Amino acid sequence: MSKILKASLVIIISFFLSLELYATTEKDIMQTQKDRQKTKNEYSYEQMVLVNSDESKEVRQVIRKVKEVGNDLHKAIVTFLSPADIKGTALLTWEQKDRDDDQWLYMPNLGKMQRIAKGSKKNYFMGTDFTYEDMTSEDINNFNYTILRKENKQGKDCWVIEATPVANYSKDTAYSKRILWVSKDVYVTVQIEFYDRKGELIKTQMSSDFKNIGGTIWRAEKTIMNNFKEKHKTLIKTIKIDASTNIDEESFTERFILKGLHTELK
Amino acid sequence: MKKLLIFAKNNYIAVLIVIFIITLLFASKIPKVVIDPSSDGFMIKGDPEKTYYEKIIKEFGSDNRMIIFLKDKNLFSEDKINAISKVLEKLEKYKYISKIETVYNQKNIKWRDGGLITEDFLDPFNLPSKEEILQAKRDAIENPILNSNLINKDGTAMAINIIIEKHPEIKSYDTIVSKEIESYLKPLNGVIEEYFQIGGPYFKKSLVEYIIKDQIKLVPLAVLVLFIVVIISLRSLYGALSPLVTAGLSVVWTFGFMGLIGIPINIITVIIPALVIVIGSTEDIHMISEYFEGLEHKQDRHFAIEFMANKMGIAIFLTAFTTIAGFSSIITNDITVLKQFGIVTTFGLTANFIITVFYTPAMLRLRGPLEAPTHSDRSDSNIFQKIANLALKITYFNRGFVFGVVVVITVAIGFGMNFLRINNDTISYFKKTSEIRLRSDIVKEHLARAQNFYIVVDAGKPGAFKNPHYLKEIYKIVNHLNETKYFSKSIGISDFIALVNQEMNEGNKKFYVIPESKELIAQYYLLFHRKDIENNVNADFSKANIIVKHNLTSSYELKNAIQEVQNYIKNNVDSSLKIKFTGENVLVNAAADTIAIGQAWSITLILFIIFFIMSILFLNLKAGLLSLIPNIIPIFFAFGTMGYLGIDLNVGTAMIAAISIGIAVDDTIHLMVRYNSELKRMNDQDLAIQETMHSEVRAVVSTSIALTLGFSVLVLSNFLPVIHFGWLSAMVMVIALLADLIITPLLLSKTRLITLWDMLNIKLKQSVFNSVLFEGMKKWQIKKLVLSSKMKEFKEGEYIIRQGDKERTFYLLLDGKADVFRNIENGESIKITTFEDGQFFGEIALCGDIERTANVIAKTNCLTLEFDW
Repeated sequence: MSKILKASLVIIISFFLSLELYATTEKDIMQTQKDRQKTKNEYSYEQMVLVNSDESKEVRQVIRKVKEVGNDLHKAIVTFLSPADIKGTALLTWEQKDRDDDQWLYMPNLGKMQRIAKGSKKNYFMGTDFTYEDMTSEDINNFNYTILRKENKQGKDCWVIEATPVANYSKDTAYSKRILWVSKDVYVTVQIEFYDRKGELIKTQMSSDFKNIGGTIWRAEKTIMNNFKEKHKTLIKTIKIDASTNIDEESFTERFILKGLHTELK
Repeated sequence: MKKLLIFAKNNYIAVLIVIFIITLLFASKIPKVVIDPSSDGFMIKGDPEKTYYEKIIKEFGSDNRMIIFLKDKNLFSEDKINAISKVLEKLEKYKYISKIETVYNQKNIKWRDGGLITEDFLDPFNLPSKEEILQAKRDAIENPILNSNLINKDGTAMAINIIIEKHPEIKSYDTIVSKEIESYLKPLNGVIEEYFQIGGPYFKKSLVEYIIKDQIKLVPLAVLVLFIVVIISLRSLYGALSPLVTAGLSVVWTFGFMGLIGIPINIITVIIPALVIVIGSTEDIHMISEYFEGLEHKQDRHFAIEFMANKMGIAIFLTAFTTIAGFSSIITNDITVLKQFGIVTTFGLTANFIITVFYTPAMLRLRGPLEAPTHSDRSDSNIFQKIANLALKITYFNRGFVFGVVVVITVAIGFGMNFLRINNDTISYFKKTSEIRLRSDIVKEHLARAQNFYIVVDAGKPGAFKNPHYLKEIYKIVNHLNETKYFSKSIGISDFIALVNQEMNEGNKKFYVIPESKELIAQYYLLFHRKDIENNVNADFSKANIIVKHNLTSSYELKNAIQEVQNYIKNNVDSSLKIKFTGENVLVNAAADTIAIGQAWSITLILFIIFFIMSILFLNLKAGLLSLIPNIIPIFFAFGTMGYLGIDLNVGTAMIAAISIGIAVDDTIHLMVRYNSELKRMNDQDLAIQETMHSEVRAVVSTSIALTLGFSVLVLSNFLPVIHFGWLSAMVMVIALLADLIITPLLLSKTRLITLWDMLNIKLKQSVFNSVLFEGMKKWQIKKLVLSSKMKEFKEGEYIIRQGDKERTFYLLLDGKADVFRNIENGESIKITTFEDGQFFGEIALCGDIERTANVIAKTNCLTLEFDW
C-alpha cells in the first residue's frame, strides 16, 4: 500500500470516528431526549420514602398528574394519599411563560386553597430532597451543554453531559452545574450530579428499572435522590404509571380539589 | 532525715549525677505536655449527665457554636450584603463547619399580598431589588424564630451562627479554626462598622493564648520574687541561687510528670510552676539558714552541714509533709481540673522536697560558701528582732484580752462567709476588660448571646410531637421561658408550627398558637425539610429540644433560673414527659456545687491530717488543736473577705483554704518544735518562748514574705480565679504569720510539749521502770511522764537538795548516783545512804512546808526528774 493510501485511510477512519463522536451535538441529544420522553398526559402513583441521617424513614404515597396545556406549558398536581394525617394535601401548579408559575397549596384541614405568592424554585418540595426545579422539565435554551465523555452506567452506554446555566439564567437556578448521564439507547437520564454555586457536589439522583410506557417514552421505576449536604435521602418507587389516558383539565382546578376528587386513584 | 542529709553530703557526686539523670528523663517527657482550653475539665469527672449530653448533641446537633457578630446602621445595603456574602462563600467551603445559620438562609414563611411565601429570606449571592431586600429585612425582624437570635430588633446587628465539628484528635484545633475564620472576615474590613467572632473556637483560642501569656509572665516573676526575698533575708548569693536551682529542677520534673501521665496545662494547672518555685523554696531557706548558723560556730563545710542536719531533722520533714498534704487534699475534689491540680502539685512539691534534701547538702559539700554572711541576728536594731519583740509584747500584754480581740475580729470578718456564692461559669473567669468579655457584652446588648443550653422533652413515643397536646406543652414551656427575665431567647418546635399557623391565617398574630387538629399539624410539617427543624425535634418526633439562649454569667444565677423553670414545669406541664436540662453550660455549672463539697472535704482532710500528725508528734491532743488555731483564723479571714467583696467561690478560690492551711502550719510547726527543744534546755516556759521567737523569727517571717509575694505574683494572671487565688492566698499568708507570731506563743506559754522523737530517743534504765513511783504504769506512760516533767542535770559534787531549804519538789534519779549527808553540829555531816538510779527522794516535801532534813549531793554526774508539788 502506498503511503498516500495509508494516510488517506487514517484520515477516513478518523473522520468516521469523529463523526461517531460528533454525530449528534449536545443540544441535539437534550432536544431528542425531551421530544422522545414528553407526554401530553401523565398519571403516576408513587411511593416516597424519606430517609433521615439516623436511617429512620418516613413513607408517603402520592399521586402525580401532569397535563400539557400549551407549548411546553403544563398544569400539574401532586396529591398526598398517606399517611392518613396528610391525605388530600396537594400542590397545584400552572406553568406560565415569562412570569412566575401560579401555585396553590391545599391543606384539607385548613379547608382552603392557599396561594403561594412566591415559592422559590430552589426550595425543597414538601420535605423531599427534590426542589421544584428538579421536578420540572428544563428549557434547553437556559443551559449550555457539553459532552465530557462517554461512559457505561448501569449497563447502559451513556453520554456524560455537563449542563451549566446561560449567563442570564444563573440567578434562577440553584446549581452552578449538573452532570447528566443520558443513555444512548432510549435517551433516559440514568444519573444526575448536582453542584451548588461553590461548585461542590451536593446531591446525586440515580434512576433505575426503566420501563417503556408507550412509544419512545421510558420511565424509571426507582429513583433515589441522595442529598449529601443535608445528609438526607428521598426514594421514589412508581407503583402505577399511565401516559396514554387523557386527564381532564378540570383535575387541575380548585373546585375539583375542594370536592376531594383529587385523592381518587385511577 | 538527718541520716539522709548526711548521706547526701558524703555521697555528693553520686547524688548530683543521679539528680541530673532523673531530670533528663523527665525533661524528655515535657514535649508531650498539651494545653487544654476545653471546658471538659470544669465538669464533674465521670458525670453520667455528660454521656447524656453527648447523646443529645448527636441527635440535635452540636451546641458548640461560633458567632460572627456584625453591626452596622445599614446592614442591608447592597454593598454590605455583598461583603458578607464573600465571607459566607468562604465559610461554606471550610471543611470543619457543619452548618451555617444566617438571616439569609432561614426559611421565610410569610403571608403577604394575598399569598404565602415559603422561601429563604435572601440569597446573598443573587440579590433581588432594593425594595425586596428591605422587605426581607422587615420579615426577618418580625419572624419570632429569627428575632434576637440572628437579627436584632431594628436590623442593625446580626449573627452568623456557625456550628463547628468537634475534632479532639487535631492538635490546636480551636486555634486553627478560629484563625482560619478570622482570615475570612477581611472583606468586611472598612465595610461593616463592627464585626468579630465570639464563642466556641474563638473562646478556646483566647484561653490558650492567655494560658501561654500567663506562663511567660508568672514564672519569671516568681523566680524574681524568690530571688529578691532570699537575697534580702539570707544576704547570700549562694543562698539565693540554691533554691532557684532546686525549684528549676522541680519544675522540669513536674512538667515531665504532666507529660508522662497526660495531664494538660489548663487555666488552673498553669499556675503550678510558679507555685512550686515559691513554695518549694521555703525548705531551702531554712536549710541554708541553718548551714550559715553552723558556719558561725566553725568555718567548716562538714561541720556546718552536720549542724544543719542536726537542726533540720523533724521540722523540715513535717513542714514539707503538711504542705504536700494540703495540696493533695485537693485531689478529693470531683472537678477534673482541681483533681489534676492536686495530683500535679503533690508530685511537684514532693519532687521539690526530695531534690532539696539531696541536692542542698550535696551541693553545699561541693561548693558551699565558707563564710556566713554577716548579720547581727540578735541585736535589737534588727528588723526581725523588732518584730519578735513586738509580738512578744502583745502576747504578754494581757493574754485574755489579746485572745479576746483576735476572736472578735475573726468572727466579725468570718461572718462575711454567709454571703459567699459559688460560681463555675467559664466566661466569668475572664477579666471584665478582657477582649472576650467585651465582645460578649456587645453581643449581649443586641442579640441573645452564644451561651445556650437545651431543654430536652422526651414523650417516649414516636410521632408525639405531631400531636397538638405535646406541642402545646412545648409551647407553654417556651412561652414561659420567653416571659421570664432570665433568658434572652428560647426556640422550640412549637414556634415553627405556630408560625405556619399564623401565616396560613393571613399573618394574623392571634393565630400564633398550636392548632387543635393533629392532621393540620402534620400538613404544616410538610412545609419543612428535615434540615429546617432538626435542631428542635428528632427524626421520629418522640423528642423535642428547646434551645435556650441566655446572658447569665454565673452558676448561681443559672441555677436559680433553671430551678424556677423546673418548678414551673413541675406545676404546669404534663408529668408523663421526661424533661431534662443539658448542654456544656449546664454541665459546667452543675459542677459548681461539687466545688463546694470538694472544698469542704479538702479542708476537713487537711485539718484532720494536721491534727493527727501534731497530736502524735507531741503525744498530746491539745498540741494538735493548738497547731490548728493560728491556721484556721486566716481561713475565716479569706472566706469572710470573699463574702464581703462578692468574690465567688470558684475553681481557683476553692483551693485557697486547704493549700494555705498546709503551708501556714509550717511556721507553727517550726515554732512548736523549737519551743520544745528550748524548753528542754532552759526549763522555763517564758524564757523558752522568748528564745524560740528570737531564733525563729528570721526564717518564719522571711518565708512568709516569700510566700506572700509569691502568691501575689498570681495577681498578674489573665484569669480571675487565679487572680483571686493569688491575692487571697497572699492575704492568708500574712494573717497566718500574724497569728503565728501572736497566738502561737500565747498558746504555747500554757503548754508543755514533748515530741514523739523524744519518746523514741529517751533511754531509761530498767531500774527506773522498776521504780515504785511508776508501779502499775506501762513503759510508754512512764516515758511520757518522764518527758513531760522537768529534767535536771547535776554535775558531780553539786547539791541537789540542801538541808533546811523549804521546797515543794521531789526528785527521781534517772541516771547516776547521789549521796545523802545529814548535817550534824559543828559543820560536820554524816553520810546516811547512796541513792542509785530508779530511786526517788525529797518526797517529804509532799507533806507540806517542812524543811529539808538532809543534803543530797551528786556522787557522779546525775540526771534527775524534778516533780513540783
